Amino acid sequence: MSGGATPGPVRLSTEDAVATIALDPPGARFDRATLDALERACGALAEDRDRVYAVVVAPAGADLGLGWGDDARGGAEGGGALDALAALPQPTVCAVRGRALSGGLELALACDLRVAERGAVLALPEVAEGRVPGGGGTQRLPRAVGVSQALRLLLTSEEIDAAEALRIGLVSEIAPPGGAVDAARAVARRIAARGPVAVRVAKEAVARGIELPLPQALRLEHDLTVLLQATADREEGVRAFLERRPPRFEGR
Amino acid sequence: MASGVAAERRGDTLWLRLDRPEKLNAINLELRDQLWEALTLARDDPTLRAVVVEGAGERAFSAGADISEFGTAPSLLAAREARLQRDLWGLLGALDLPLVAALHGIVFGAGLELALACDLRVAAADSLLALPEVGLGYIPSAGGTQLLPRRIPAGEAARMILTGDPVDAERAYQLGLVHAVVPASELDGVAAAWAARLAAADPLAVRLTKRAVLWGGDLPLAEGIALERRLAAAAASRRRA
Repeated sequence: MSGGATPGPVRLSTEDAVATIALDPPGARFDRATLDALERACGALAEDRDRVYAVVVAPAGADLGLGWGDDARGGAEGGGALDALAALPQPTVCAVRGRALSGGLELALACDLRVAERGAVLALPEVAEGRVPGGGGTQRLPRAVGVSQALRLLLTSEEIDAAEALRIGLVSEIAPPGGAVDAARAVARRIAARGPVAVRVAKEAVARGIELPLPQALRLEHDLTVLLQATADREEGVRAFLERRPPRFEGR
Repeated sequence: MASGVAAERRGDTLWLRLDRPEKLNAINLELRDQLWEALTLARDDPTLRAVVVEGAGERAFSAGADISEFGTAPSLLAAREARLQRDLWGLLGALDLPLVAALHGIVFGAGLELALACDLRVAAADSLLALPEVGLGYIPSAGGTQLLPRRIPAGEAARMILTGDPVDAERAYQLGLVHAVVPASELDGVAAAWAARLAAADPLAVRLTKRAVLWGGDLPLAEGIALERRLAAAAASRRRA
C-alpha cells in the first residue's frame, strides 16, 4: 500500500513507512460517513503494521475539526472511530491546524501526540453550549494534561492558542503557519526510523501500564523488555550502536 | 575506585556519585550492584535524612545502560532472574528516604530512569534528557515507560519514548520533568541546599508524606485519603509520645 490517496472524506496515503490520514469532512464537522471511513482506515492500518510504522492524522482543509455532523451526535460522538484510532498499534501524530474544537480536539486527543501550527485554536466548548463532550474529551484531556488544566478547559470552554497548548503539554511542538502537517510528518518519520517492533511494544507498555498500579506496570515493562531481547531488531540496534553506524531494522 | 559509585556521607545526607566519567557514567552491572548495596545500607540507616545522586565529570550525569554488556547473560531467563533478585529499581521505588537527582550534561536512558526514581530533580542548564532506547531496537527497561507518563503530560512522554529525541533543560523545566534549572557551577550547591532542607525537616513527616503521595497515586481517591489519615495519625501519635 503506497502512494495514491483514496477519494472521499478520509484519504489514506502512505509514503515510505509513514501513513497519513487526511480528513476532509463536510464543513469540517465529523459526520457518520467520515467516522465510518476513519474506522475502516484504522482497521486497514492495523493490519498493515509490518509496513506502516507511524501514522499522521491531518486536516485536508483549513481546520482540524469544528465538531460533529448532525447525524453523528447523541452521546457517543466519536463512536468506534476514535476508539479504533486510539487503539492503533502504530504511534499516531496529529497535525493541529486552524480550529480544533469539540470533536476536532477529541480527535487530536485520541492520537499519541500532537503538533500545532501558529494560529491554531483548541477548545472543548460543549459546556458553554449546554452539552457534555461525548468523544472522549472528559477522559482523554485529564490524562493528557492533568486534572487541573483539564477542568479549566472543560468547565470554562476557554479557547487556547498553540503557545498555551505547548505550555501545558497538550501539544509537543509549534510549527510555523501552514506547517503543522509537515512537522507532524517529520515527527512520524523519526519514529518510523527507530526499531519498529520496539516502537510498537513501547506504545503498548505505555498504554497498558498507565492503567495498572505501578508495581504491576513495572513488571509489565520488564517482561516486555525480556521479550524484546529475543528480536533481530535489538541485536541489530545494539550492534549498529557499537559499530557507530545507522541501524538497519527489519521489524522482527 | 573510578569504576563505580563513590559514596560519601556529608552530615545527614548521603552523596552517591556515578563515577565512571570515562564511560559517561554508563551503568554497568558493577555500578548497578554498587548502587544497590549503597541504597540498601541507606535504607537501613535511621540517621540518614536524604540522598543526592550525581554524575562525575563534565559531560554526563549518565549516558544510560552500558551497552557493551548487552547479551552477556547466559540466557534470557537468567537475565530476568538476576534482575529481579537485585532489583535496584524496585529498591528505589520502595525507599522512604527522599532522593534528590543533580543532573548535568547527558541524562539518557537508564540515567534518566534513575533520575525519575528520585523525588526531586535539579538540572544544570546544559542538561539533555532522553530515552533513546527505541533507536536501538528495545524499550526503556528501568521504569521509563511507566514513570515518565506518570510525571509529565502524556503526549510529551509519548514523544520522548517513541522518537527517542531529547528535551533540553528549559523544556524539561516547563514540563515539570525537573524542578529547577541552574548554572552548572551552582548544581552541587542547589542540591546540597535541597538536601539540607529535607534534613532539617522532621524525618518521619518527610518519609510518611513521600509514602502517602507515591502509594496514594495507585489508589482510588477515597482509599488514598484513608491512607493519608492513617499516616498522619501515625505521625501525630509519635509526636505526642
